[in-house]
Amino acid sequence: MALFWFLIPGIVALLLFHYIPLLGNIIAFQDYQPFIGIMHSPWSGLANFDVIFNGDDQFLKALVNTLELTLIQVVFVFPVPIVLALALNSLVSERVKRWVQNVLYLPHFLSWVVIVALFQQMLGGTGMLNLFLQAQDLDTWNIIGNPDFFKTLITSQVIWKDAGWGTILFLAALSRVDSNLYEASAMDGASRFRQTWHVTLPSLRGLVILLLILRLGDALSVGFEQILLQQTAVGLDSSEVLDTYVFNNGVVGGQWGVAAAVGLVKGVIGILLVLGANKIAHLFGEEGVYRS
Amino acid sequence: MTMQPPLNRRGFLATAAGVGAGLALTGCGDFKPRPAALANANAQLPTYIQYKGVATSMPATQDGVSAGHQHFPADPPKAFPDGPPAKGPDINIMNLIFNPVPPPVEKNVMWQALNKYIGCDINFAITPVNDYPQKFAVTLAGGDLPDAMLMLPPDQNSAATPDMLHALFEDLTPHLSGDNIRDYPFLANIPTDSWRPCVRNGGIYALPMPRPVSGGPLYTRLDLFKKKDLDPNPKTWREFVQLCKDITDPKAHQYALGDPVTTWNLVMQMLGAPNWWREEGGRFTHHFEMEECKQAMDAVNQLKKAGVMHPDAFAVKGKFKEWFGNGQIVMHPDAPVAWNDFYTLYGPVSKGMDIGYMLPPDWDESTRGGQWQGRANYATLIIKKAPKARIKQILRAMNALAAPFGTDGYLLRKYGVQGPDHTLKGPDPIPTPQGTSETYLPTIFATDSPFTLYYPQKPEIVPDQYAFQKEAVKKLIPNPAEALYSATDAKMTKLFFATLDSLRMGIMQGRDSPGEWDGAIKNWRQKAGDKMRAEYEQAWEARSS
Repeated sequence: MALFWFLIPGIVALLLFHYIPLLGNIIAFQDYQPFIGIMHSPWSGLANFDVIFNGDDQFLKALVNTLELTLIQVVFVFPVPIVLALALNSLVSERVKRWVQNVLYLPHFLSWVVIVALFQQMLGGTGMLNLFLQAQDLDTWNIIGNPDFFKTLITSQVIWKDAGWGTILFLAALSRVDSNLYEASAMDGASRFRQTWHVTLPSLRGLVILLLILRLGDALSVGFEQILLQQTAVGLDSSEVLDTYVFNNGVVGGQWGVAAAVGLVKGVIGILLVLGANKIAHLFGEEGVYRS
Repeated sequence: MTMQPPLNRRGFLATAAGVGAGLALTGCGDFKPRPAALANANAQLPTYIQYKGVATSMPATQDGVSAGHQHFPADPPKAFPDGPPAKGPDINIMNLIFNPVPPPVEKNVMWQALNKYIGCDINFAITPVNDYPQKFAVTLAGGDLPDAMLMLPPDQNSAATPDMLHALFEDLTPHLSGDNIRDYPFLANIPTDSWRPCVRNGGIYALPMPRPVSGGPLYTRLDLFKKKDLDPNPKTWREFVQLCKDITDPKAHQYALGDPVTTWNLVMQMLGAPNWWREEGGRFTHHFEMEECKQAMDAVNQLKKAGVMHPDAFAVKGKFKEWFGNGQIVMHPDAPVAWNDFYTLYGPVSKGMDIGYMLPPDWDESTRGGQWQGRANYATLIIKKAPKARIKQILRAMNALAAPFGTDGYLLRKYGVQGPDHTLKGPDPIPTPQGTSETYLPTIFATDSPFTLYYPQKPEIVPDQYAFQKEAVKKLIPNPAEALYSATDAKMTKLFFATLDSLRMGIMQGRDSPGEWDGAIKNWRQKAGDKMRAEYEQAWEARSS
């Protein structure tokens, strides 16, 4: 019973900052006006959901961009920390490994504003690359303001910033692999590659699946700050995602109800994805997020 | 040990839903908007009584030229010879800031002196300018209002509705209209143009934050033009383009122009296009729906193609002043206050900096250029409902914050306390570094005296500034909708602006075709534009009658 008291602050925080704010989703069904407040704003039924169900142009663009970025990021960003972790794990010298790890973690602690500015300084119209090209009398290369490169640019920024940080969990998992298994496989004449394939990767499988499921939960969140900071350069058509749509409509445009409706639907889809993926994981005999 | 959880998931959800439903049923949806016709009803404006305490060879004029002064009076008249005018409880003001936040009152000599001069503590809750609209909306929603708050004009602020003002803020008409303003002589010194946007619901609901109607010039770096032996006085668009090409030198990282949006504004003014709305015989037209709009986008695209715009012009926001300051761009349209700021901020690093001005040239012989009239206010200050005596105290304090140029009150507000905040050079206050940061205290975003041209660090620029305003007011293009309220504009403009602005940028960069603009405008007209137009036409009629 004493232990129970320790739980209280956590529960209170969870209630105050997670569950009670959820009630604010009511404004998705209102013509919400900040000065009247939630209590007195007129009801509007499902009118705010019109943009979703009737496919408002801007909303559809944001949805398509979001899905594209999600797909790209799951395919290209998600595996990078695994590969990095394997590579790091294969380093023999502890000192070199520590050093490389630290260098890789660092970008994670920079804010997006700094990172976007860094990329701007390197690749922008008067960035290092283009100044160099200009000095050689070569044509300059428009990377930052080019909508065709936008998704590539965003994805490489994500990799640069967070791939190193993402290795932490995998390295922890790798350190727990039974070294007897490696010895035994070496006795059987397995090469490094075979060892990786038959020993290392299978022992990471549970973790990879767990992380993938959790990733699906916020599949529709693809870098709000990062994208908002770079939207002006390429225009909304290629850069608007659901999160920036909610911001541009709700906070900037004052359409609080519509923004809340889109956010609500996004949250519901996230839950369905997590539950669905978890179910599939169970079917394959994996543990997933919780035991079935 | 087994323990029964006090609340399982289902239990919690049920409770939450119950609470939610309870909240919902206790009064949701009982709000009824008031009739739209009331919003723009007329009110009797304050009588204009000019302050004549300080003489100058560059006086303010009827048509909106600001007074200019090269020197401060040697013996500044006291604004309140009888002592602090607004003794009483603290006044809390919520407003915004462009600069870094000033030191808190305990460490701010100027702020302490200001409180003493007014007679009560003025507490500022300061928000950075970009977050202000959100802060404003959230504060209204929260219900815990400060005594006074800055309200951005409705076309930039969907929360600035007449209903909201009626419900929460004081109608100041009994205190300010007509000759009642005589109780507040420094507020009476604010020009009538600045009072018009303060009228809502047939009453005066706000105090002005006056700004010069001349708008700002296209600033030019005369020192850099001189280096290339060029004369920055083009007569037409064609000459302007040639000038841009001549001054651009990519190897030296020097370009003609930076900000695409203000460049578009500039071209629009060359074309004589409306300043947002045009009113002809009571009919309103938005400049987005006019041929000139597309013409201007195409013109900016030509400038971009010619390579005279900074290579990062479309990719970077908020660097344009810096580029102008360090000479990466040589022309930059900006607000009137920027003139002094350029010298203060960049003068020390850009040696020999010499700033000139240009008015929008004509497009050609048949299409004459104009100058978009500046807003008469940056924003307005609204005062929470309170007993009559309290309102009078707040008004007396705000009257003190409007003490005009030449008075000790003005000196204190803009230059702080002699010694820590400024040193005297003759009669003129030269700010110390401490003074610069302390006087960032945003009193100008509560209310202010009429704009005055004055720059103690470099008095020789004032005649140029005065000359610019004199030229500018001759060709002003006003925005007829400035003082009016349209609910649809307030609600929809920001929403549409995101897409329209993105498309405009795309067309100016050559990414999107100009043809797409027509489709976007058709959509805008159907969903918002035509309704806005109708509302403005109605409002125009209500105010004119």
